[in-house]
Amino acid sequence: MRSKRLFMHFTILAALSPLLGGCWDYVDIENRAPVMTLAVDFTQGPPGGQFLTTLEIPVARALAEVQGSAQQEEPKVVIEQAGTTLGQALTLVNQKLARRAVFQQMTAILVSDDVARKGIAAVADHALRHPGFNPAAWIYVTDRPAGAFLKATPQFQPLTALYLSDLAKQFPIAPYMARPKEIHTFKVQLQEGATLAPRLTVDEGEIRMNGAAVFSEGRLVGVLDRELARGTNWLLGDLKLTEIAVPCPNQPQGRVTLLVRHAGRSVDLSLDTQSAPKFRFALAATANIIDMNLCPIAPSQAGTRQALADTAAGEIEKMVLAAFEKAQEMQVDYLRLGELLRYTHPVLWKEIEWVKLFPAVEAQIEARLSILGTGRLDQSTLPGSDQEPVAGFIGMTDEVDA
Amino acid sequence: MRENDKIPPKALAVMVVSAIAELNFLIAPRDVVDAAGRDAWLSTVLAIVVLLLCAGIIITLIRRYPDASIVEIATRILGKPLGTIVALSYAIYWLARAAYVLQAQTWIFAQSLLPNTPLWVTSLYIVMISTYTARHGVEPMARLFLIFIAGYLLPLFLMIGPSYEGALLDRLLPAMEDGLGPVIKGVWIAFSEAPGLSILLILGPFLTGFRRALSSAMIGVILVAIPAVAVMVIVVAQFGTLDVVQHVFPTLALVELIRFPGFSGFRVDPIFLSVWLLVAFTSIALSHYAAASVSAGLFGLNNDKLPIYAIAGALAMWSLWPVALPDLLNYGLRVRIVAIPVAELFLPALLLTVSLIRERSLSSTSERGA
Repeated sequence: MRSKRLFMHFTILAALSPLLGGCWDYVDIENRAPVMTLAVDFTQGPPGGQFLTTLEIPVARALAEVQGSAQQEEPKVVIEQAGTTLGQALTLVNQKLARRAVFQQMTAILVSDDVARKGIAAVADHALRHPGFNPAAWIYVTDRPAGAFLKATPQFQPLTALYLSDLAKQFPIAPYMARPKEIHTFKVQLQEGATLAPRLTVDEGEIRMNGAAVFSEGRLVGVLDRELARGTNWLLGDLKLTEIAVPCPNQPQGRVTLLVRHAGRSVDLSLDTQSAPKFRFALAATANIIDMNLCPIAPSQAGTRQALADTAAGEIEKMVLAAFEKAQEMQVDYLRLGELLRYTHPVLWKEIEWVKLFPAVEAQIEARLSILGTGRLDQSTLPGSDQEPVAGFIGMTDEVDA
Repeated sequence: MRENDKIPPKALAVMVVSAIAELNFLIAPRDVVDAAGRDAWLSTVLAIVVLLLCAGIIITLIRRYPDASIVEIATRILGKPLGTIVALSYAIYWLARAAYVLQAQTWIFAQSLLPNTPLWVTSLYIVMISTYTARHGVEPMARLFLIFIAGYLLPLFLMIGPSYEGALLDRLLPAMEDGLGPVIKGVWIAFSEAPGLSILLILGPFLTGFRRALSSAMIGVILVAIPAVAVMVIVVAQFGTLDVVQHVFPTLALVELIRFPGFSGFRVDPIFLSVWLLVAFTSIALSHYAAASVSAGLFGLNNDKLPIYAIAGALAMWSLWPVALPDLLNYGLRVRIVAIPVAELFLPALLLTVSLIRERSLSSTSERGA
């Protein structure tokens, strides 16, 4: 009796197995085309729709191919599809592919300058609404047609997606761009007022992340250059590590380069009925000397280090103040100061029109820097200290200024 | 009820977690934030206090009638006609709850994991497994659900750590900006998102004793409460109230952002969802069993086998009813905010109050007689 019942259960389960849920949705891996990067442009006139999407799809076989084989296959397929909406274009693209385009593993969304200026909602809505889309893909704004970035073969990496991912990982040590963020986080910040996205440019034939694209009211409204982006990262607390080149105290033509590590940031708000709100930024940092070739001083002495630290702090204050004033000039509060006012003074917040008030608010920047290390050398003793500094030695800041 | 189908009072914690934790973790943040805004976390904390009160009321009630089913308890307290109506209401309530969670679970499966699989296939599978589980009785269910509790706690705690990055606690401030009104409304919604304690009403006869029954039930509530508050705080701190209310499943949106260093392209949301749906299944199975148990009592049956199959049939039929997900969630909320406070708080409180009054009047009558 028991074995009969067991047999019956087994038969029923076996009969049901073809109905298992996965069967309807099963797609072999060789029938999938995993899209790694999506670029969004406007079409240039030919019929087909408003948006031109470009997809970067890796060719696994080619990526695995041993270097030096006779016939190198292209490591990626780049395919374009137009559509009146992003959703339509990305569905229609399947008619051009022998495999099913899947977007779950997508790591980057590139939006061209003109699409961003018209409004980012078209991209954000599809990206966050369609369950098959990856809402954790990072968003970038390009200074030229976004599709061109996918057609290029970048440095070190066969795929633009991987290259961008590597560039984004450089942010903590090269904060000359807006902090890369997922499209969902980007949308959340934009909804709260304004936000920044890293900007992609082409420099000497290579893709670079330079500066920031400023978004407000759902649109791209301006651009920050590398230095302003760095100053803004100080203000936002996003900066972790950067370098500062300051003039040598004894030798004005010399430079001392410091590797500066962010150690703290606080923002205080003071309100006075007679004047506009005043924001006081207190920035703390520690630093190590990494280069002082043309500066004949002895940083082991506390007084010398303090003088250098004060000079560097002054440089930081100037840089940060310039970034603050740029935000005011653009009349866009991507610094989230309105949020600070909102939750510290909710009653006042309801009475004021922040967009109008923001350009008039005052900022006080106070940077405090401590030099903790001088590296493996103390005083620079090599000959040539009294010579004119050469351009290659004067640090990135000057190079940018130039 | 089988002779050996008994559980220790400690097992109530498992049953409470299994009964309460379901898809509310995915759905509730949106509804509570919509009602209470930034104070959603505060509303959730206060709703938990109400839940603890409910646990106290129900345990006190079933302790007074240790071997009685809910049908017997209700008829003894309210008389046969009213008691039968109350018991029947609970049978319908648990059936409706199982059906609601079943349909919502099927939809989430369809939307996130199996978009091409017909909804009825997923529904019928869940109904079959629920039937199989319910047929084995309370004690095996408690043992099985004990394993699933890890499936409930683990994904939540794994999610909380990585979600901290990018979260801004200033999104939770200022507290009570619009006064107490939205907070109270949020308490009502949050409480209405956490049904399940009423399952305790059927568990009295299955307990080996009542010592520490209340503390076990409360531990169960707290095991649900801690991650519930944590999820509410993180969802708002990460997305802000404006974004949370735009998402159908904000918690799922949070999980979709989680990345582990060194696992480029690896998404945890399918794993989270699979485990979480397993947890939601426990609520379906318990509600299924509860509805069948009451039906057996109402029809005077000694065995719950037939009612379990009948409820399974009703669930299957209900799941075939085509309802769009937004309608399911919106109409579901409208029904829940009335039905759940009534079934989980007011009816048990009414039964307990009437029971106490009757006992007092009986004792005063006997004193007078003496």
